[in-house]
This record gives sequence, structure tokens and C-alpha cells, in this order.
Amino acid sequence: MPVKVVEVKEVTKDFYLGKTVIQALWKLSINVEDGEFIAIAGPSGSGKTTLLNLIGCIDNPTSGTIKIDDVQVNNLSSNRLAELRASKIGFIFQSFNLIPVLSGFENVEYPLLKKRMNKDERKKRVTAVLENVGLEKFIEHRPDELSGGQRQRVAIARALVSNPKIILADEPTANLDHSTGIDILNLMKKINKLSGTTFIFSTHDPKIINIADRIINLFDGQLSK
Amino acid sequence: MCLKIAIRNVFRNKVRTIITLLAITFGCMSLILIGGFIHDALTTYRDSIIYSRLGHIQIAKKGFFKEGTIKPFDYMIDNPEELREALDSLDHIERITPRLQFVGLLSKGETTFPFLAEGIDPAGEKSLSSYIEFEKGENLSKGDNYTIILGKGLARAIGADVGDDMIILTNTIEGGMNALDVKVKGIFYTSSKEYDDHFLRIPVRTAQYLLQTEKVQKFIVILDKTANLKKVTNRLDDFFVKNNLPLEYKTWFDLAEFYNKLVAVYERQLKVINIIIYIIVILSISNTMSMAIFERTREIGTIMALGAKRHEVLFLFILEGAVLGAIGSLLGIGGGIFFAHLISWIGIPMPPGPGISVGWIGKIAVVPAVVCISFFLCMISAVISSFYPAFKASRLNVAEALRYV
Repeated sequence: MPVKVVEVKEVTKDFYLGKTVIQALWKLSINVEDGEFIAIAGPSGSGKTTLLNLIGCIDNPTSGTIKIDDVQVNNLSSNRLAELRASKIGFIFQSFNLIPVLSGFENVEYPLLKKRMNKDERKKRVTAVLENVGLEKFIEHRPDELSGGQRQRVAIARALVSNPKIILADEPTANLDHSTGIDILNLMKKINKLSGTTFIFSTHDPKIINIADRIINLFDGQLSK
Repeated sequence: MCLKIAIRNVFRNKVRTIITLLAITFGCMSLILIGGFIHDALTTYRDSIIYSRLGHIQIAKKGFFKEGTIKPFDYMIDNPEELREALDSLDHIERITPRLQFVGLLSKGETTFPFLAEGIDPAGEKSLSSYIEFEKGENLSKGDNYTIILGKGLARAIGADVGDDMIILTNTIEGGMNALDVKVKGIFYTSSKEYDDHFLRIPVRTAQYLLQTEKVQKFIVILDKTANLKKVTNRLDDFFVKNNLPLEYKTWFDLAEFYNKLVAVYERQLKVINIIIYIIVILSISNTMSMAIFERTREIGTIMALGAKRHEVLFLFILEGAVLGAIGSLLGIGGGIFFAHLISWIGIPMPPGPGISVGWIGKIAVVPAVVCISFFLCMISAVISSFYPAFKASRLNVAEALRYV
């Protein structure tokens, strides 16, 4: 029987701009099973990033519940949420969000520093992950010395390195040209098949959306039929 | 890794870092230079009063320091030579020399002027005269009798010059009147204008002859080092008790009222200057850190998304402030020591201070305690000033920080 790694139940998220309330999500419910490769599709403002932020435990819902790997996250403290993110969730961002003062190797190593792991083991793990994304020759390069595709590969390696249950990718191809975007998604797909890591990515590019096993369409904060 | 990130972030915006480092370096250097200058000024003044007048310790009969001004001849030391020989054997005592003070009238022709006199032993005065300068003539020397040296102000008041014959009129210790013809051998000045305006110096043997006594009022003790004062006073306590001597002592510090007030004034000034410098350091680091956090909002969101806890973000930014503080303070120490030596080599011509008759050449002492305190205060200022911006960074909402452009 498939295991649910994400359970979003009746989730609403409101944002306040002065006195105006903007409803980003409204009573949304979705489940994601372990090992799935899911695309969240929808136009700008449909709530894709908000949904990923809620699943990624970096924002709180206004109402409803979210469970990550059977842990209800709504009422957890900021420290517990940080621990949960560090252990179960990897992030890939549209603008790569690498730490500019660290090399490719050090960026990938960063999430491991919070784990009790000796230097040799860290090095082994980081090197393996960088090889996996095809960046073994660029480990000493800083982000500003890498191309967009290479930066996103470092970001994927960083997301993968701590063996998370889920990797969330918010528009991972938006800042890349089409063919690099396809390459990145194929890489994500390959990792998904090999390691069984669950991938949830958002996109509004119809040309790359079909790589996903399942597509969740959002419109105005609700599932679109 | 945290330290590595902090160091690399510090040098990310080089121009801003250089400006901040300049502020910290300048602050730390100023603390060292100002502290060193004041220390040197006070040490010079302290040595001038020790080696021109007070000595390190003054020993007198019990009650002299309380009543001696009113009844100067009621508290005389009996058998001064025996006491001097006994005290001479104590460690760290370089020289012991007697003092016999009295007041009287000094006449030259038709002019008469009141004075305060110090009977001294010319042979034993060598170390005590190192801060006495002569405008004219020379100091008293061994074997001198019936000669005096006059303070500059006193000489001017009575119109005396070197070689002049003068008459000293005073009371003997029994209360009778006595007068003596003396010759002026020199006109001196010290760091104290007050002293130069009222005092003359006379060989103690001549003073004893004038006052008709074999006794003296006190002994001035010069030590090998000022730092040994406590050791010697402890020994003196034991020595007086052991030998059942009705004596007491005062240190130069007890007697130098003006010096103590001067120290208090300088210390207060130094505190005000220090506070101004800390504020400059705090504002400059605080501004740098606030700018850095403003520019790195999304990066802070990223590291928090990767699992960094709020206190870890706080620590990271405080560490950056501390790195800035450490680099700036170390540069400040280097610059401070360099400029202290350079300025001391050139010298700062200083005008006479209040109550001081001569100017002096100011220098800047490199005082290890001042250097250490300056370093740690700049470091502490750096940490304090980065705390609020770091706290703000640690309270950022992760999702909002990630959206920040």
C-alpha cells in the first residue's frame, strides 16, 4: 500500500495587504505518495508557491492541517520546523539561492553541517552527489563562476545531499533556457527513479509539464478540474 | 564553516568593510593613543613630584602629618642618624634623606619677604633633584654651608640673583629669634609653580644651626622602583612595630593631593572620550550589519529553509560583527603601537599645566593594560552593535525572506 508523505487537508492561506485580505489558497486538499514525481501547474498567482511553502514548512496555513511524513506540522515550534526541514525536505529554488561566498562543494556540504557527520563522510557524500548531477569538475567554483544550469545542478545536489523524503522545487526551470530546463527536469526525474525521492515541482511551462507522473492544476487557490 | 562564512561575508562588500574597519581601527587606535598619552603625562607628573619634592615615602614622628603644620617643632625625630642607618638596610630603598622645614623672613637690602624653607642634605639629594631645573647658578652640594637656593618665583619676588648675600630671620625651636647671613647659589624651578613661588632650600646642617637643634622633622625615602612601594611600606610597618619606634609614614600618593585630583579629572575625560569612540564603533558596525542583512534577506531565508534555526542565524551575524571587530581592533593595536612610537620619537611640546611652572615634552606610552582593554572594548562594542541587526535577521519570516527581491 502506498505511503503518504504529504497530506494537505482543507488548507486555506490568507495574506494581508493592509486591510485587504488576499486568499492564496482556499480549502485545498491534496495527498502525495512516497516516490511520486508531481508537477503543480497553474498560472501566476494561482497559489503554486504558497502551496510549496506550506508543504516545505516555511509558512503556516491560516486554517487546515498539513502532515509531512505523518507528522502534523501546524503547531510545531520554529526550531522543530527547522529540524523537520533539515531532515525531511530539500529545496530547489527558481533563482538557485546558493550561498555566494561558498564554493559549489561547500554549498552542497552546508546542510550536512547540522548533522553529526565526520569530515571524511561529508566529503564522500558531497562528492557522490555532485557526481550524480554531473558537476564533479566544478566543485571549487563559486556560484558566480557557474552557468544557470550548473547553479541549478548545485542546488539539486544541495537538496539531495541529506537524503530527504521530499524535494520541493519552485519553478526550477524558470530562469533557464528551454533545453537546460529539460535537462534539469530529466535529472530530477532520473534521481526520482533511482533513489525513490519524492519530487514536487511547480511550473507554468506546458512544454515541460508532461515529464511529471501526475499534475496538480491550481487556479485561484483551488484545484482546477 | 560558520567562521569561514562569516569571514568571507565580511569581505563580500570590500568598500563597506574597509570603511567599517577604518572606523574600528581608528577607534581602537585612538583609545590606545589617548590612554597612552594620559598615562605618560600622569607618570611624568608623578615622577616629577616624587623626584623633586615628595619622595616615595616620608617618615616622621607619630602625629607630625596631622599636627606638624601647626606645631612643626613638636614632632621632631630624635637621633636621626641612627634611624637613617637602620632604614638604609631595608630592601628596595635607594636613598634616605632628611628634611627640616621652617618658615621665616628673607631680607635683601630694604626688601623682606616671607618664605618656606626646606633643610636638605645636599649629598643625599641627588635622586631627589632629578626634576629640579636651574634657571641660574647650581644646586647645593656636599660641604655647602650658609648657602641657599631659591625658587624662581621667590627669587623674582625679592629681586634676588645668584651670588647675592641675604639674611634669613626665623624662630629657633625654643622660640627665640635667630638670623643668619647666607649666599644665593642657584635659582631653581620645578613642575610646581606654587613650590617655586614660596620655597627656598638650605643645607640641613645650616638649618639645624639656625634653628639650634640636632633633630630633623622627617626623612624622605626614594625607592629603586615606584612599583615596590607596597612591599616597602609593609616592611616599614613591621620595622616600626619590631623596634617599638613612635614613627609613621605617608606615601607620595597620600601627600600628592593635586596629583590625585588631576588623575580623577583625566580619568573622567578619558571615560567621556572612550564613550564617544564606542558610540562611533557601535554605529558604524551596526550600520554595516543592517545593510548586510538588508542585502542578504533572501540568503537568510535560504539558510533557514535549509534547516538553520533562528539562534544559528543570530550567531552567524554576531560572528560576522565579531570578525569585523577583531580585524579592526588588531589593526588598531598595530597602528596604535606604531603611532605611539612615532609620536613619542617626535615629541609633543606641552605648555605648563595649571599650577605647573614649566612645559614638558609629551610622549605616548604603550601600556599593555590600555592595549588589552582597548582591544576587548572594541570587540565587545562590535558584538553589541551586531546584536540588534542579527536579532532582526533571525526573526525574519522564511517565506517572506525568500520572496524578497
